[in-house]
Amino acid sequence: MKPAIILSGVTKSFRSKKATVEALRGIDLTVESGQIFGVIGLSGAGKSTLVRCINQLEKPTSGEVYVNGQALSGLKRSQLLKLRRSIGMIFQHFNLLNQRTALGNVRYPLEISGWDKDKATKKALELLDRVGIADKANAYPAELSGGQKQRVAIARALANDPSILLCDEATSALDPATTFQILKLIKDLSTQLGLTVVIITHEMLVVKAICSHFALVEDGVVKYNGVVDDDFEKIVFNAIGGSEILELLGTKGDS
Amino acid sequence: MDFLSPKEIEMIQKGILETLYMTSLSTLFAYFIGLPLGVVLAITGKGGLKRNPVIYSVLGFIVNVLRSAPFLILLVTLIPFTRLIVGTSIGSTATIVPLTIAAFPFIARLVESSLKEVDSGVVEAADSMGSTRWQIIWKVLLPEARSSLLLGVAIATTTILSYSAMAGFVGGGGLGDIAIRFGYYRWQQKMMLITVILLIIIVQIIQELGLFLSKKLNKKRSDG
Repeated sequence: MKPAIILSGVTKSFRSKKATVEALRGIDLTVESGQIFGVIGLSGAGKSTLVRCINQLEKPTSGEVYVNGQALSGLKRSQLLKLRRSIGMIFQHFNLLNQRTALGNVRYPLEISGWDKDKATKKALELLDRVGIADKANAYPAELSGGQKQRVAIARALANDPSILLCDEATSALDPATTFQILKLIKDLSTQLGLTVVIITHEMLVVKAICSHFALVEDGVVKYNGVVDDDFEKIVFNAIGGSEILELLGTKGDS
Repeated sequence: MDFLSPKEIEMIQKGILETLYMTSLSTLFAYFIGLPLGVVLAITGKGGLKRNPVIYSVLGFIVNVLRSAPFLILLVTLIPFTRLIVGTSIGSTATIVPLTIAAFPFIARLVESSLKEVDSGVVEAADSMGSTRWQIIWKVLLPEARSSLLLGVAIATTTILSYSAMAGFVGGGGLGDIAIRFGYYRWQQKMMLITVILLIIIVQIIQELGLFLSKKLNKKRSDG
């Protein structure tokens, strides 16, 4: 089976009048199909830019991205839109349409890909049921809690039956209890639907909780790439120069 | 009622109707031009969906030039153009032409700023789902901005209403016409007072209606 996502020598620089910022400086990364892959790094490391290269919300300056074996650099806009419909994405601040109900939000991706109204409503209701908030179908985002909003966002991201789910700091605005409920949901969905999941986060606990593999990104390059095991925290701490903190905490840093 | 003669009452009634006629049609026509123009400004401007500095600055320049011309001057300058379109430059139908021209640049800016208020994260989410630009405009930007757009309609309508009163100076019809002919030229303070009070009442009604609808349509809490 082909890897779900390959980034090969991806660079991205943002040019402004004053300066050029190199957000990514040669990223090589492979995410196998069905993996839950964590990308961890400090703020400003380039994680968000990296994940946006996967669905081409950011076009890499150089290098190539492959999704399910398909190179993305030469895609026409219509092909790109089709590709995006096969990749779900959720965000730190949920980014729900405020003037639509939960149901309306989940229906949106179906509407734009031309589903008829009744079918779209039926499918949206099924999805809301799947993420455990069927009873909130007619609530507006302003009436929902953070965890509920993220559930709606997940249902919306899954509407077009994607094979990949991108999570950009998806639990960073949630309290710890809600964070783990959402992570558990993502893990269950990944197993049930065979989803490949890429999780961008600055929290080690998130990676430890559900990721099988991880990459540590610093200054726009992958510093470390491997499986999530017992040494994972040490590796991350050492790489970000936090070994002293680890000692202070009594070698184990999972409090 | 001996305060006003039947003739005066009839005149005022006609004035109200003419004012409403001019204001509503001018607002409608000005939105036909101003709404799409505002959308183009919003998406070609900084942080827009399809940035295009050339289109943005050309349209922006035209809008700014038209907006900086005082309405009375515009009214007079446009007389030949108005004659060309309506056949006359006197009366309330004729006034619709300069009102529309004066209002659409203002409306374009109102629309632009309403659309810019839409959370860029929501637009990014729509983008990530594979929306076309057209779908983002129709299904995300305009609906998400609807309550702000509606407030804009109330502001635009009241501005057009006050412009329409100015048109009284060149025989534009409506309440402003009455105020100028009787209140100013003949110094009948009674007529002046009545027309001013009526104008204030109409503005209040439009403003309150706009606020009410805007609140009612907004599903987002007022804190954000």
